Amino acid sequence: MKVLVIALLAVGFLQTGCATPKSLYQDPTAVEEVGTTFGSTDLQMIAEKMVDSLLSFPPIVQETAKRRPVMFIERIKNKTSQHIDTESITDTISTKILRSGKFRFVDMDRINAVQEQIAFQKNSGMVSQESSLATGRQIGAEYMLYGNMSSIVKRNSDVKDVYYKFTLKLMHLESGILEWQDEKEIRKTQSRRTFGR
Amino acid sequence: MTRIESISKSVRSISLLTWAVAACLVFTASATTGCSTAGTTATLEETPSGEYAQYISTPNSGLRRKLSIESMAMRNAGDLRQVQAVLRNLKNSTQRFQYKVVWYDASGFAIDSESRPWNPVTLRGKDTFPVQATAPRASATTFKIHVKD
Repeated sequence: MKVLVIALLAVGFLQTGCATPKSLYQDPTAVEEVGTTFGSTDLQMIAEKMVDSLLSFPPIVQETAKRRPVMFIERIKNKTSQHIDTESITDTISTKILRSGKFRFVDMDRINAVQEQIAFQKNSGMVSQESSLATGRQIGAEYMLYGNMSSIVKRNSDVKDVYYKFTLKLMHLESGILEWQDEKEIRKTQSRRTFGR
Repeated sequence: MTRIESISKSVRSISLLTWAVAACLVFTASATTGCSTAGTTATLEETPSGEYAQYISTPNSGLRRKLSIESMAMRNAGDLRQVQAVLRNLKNSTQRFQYKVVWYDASGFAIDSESRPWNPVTLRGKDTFPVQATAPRASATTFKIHVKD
């Protein structure tokens, strides 16, 4: 009888311990291996590889030795079957490039906001014209950074294999020449375990 | 009755079910232990004199036994430093580990350390892997390569 009571108490404590959710801060750069879908580690590896490659490419090194060319990022085309926030990838890439001091950016997503602000300053009558922005003085972009993400998925009864390929290109806008291009390949597999989780 | 006969009699007296439960518990314990993450970190540093000594610095000697630096090279891409350290798997079995390269400026401040990701690597037995990295900024002068399993 005593053994039964102790056993029931133990089961009760275990259930309580397992039912209580536990929240912890984790390292955002830690490797996550939760399934084969696109994840934070993939995003970080792609951004690091692409930026390292771009900044160390000899013609780019030469071009940025004495000046900081202006570029803008076009949308990354998602050719996979997953929902991937490609803007998150380009944000990380542009952050790293900007912080390197080698390039400058124009943000094409904020053109409307800038036009609204200029119109407000010029036309609302609320801003002194001496302090308002001068129009027609923005710096034009010289380069466009763009690319795409694709995947190949294969599976059988035991294994699911997902191959990702991220390609990034830098085009000189005036000449149309592709000045730099590189790609990052990632393969993730998920196999069915014989025992356990 | 001899001692051996006594022991074998005791063993036979324990029910088959009890042996099965004990075997399951031992298997579960060993499987759980085998799946646990050690999480040790080794730091490979450039010596102050600028020469590259082939060593692994780690509080856990287990990682030192598994990996070694075969060679290390530095070069400049414009005003950005680049490093390559070739790691060799000393074991015959495949090793899985992660590495991260953190750069420091002349004052010893880490540059963008929070944004440097851990990179997973699977290295076959006795095989090599080149760890390469480019400094994020021209102000980077030194680096540390962190390795963990």
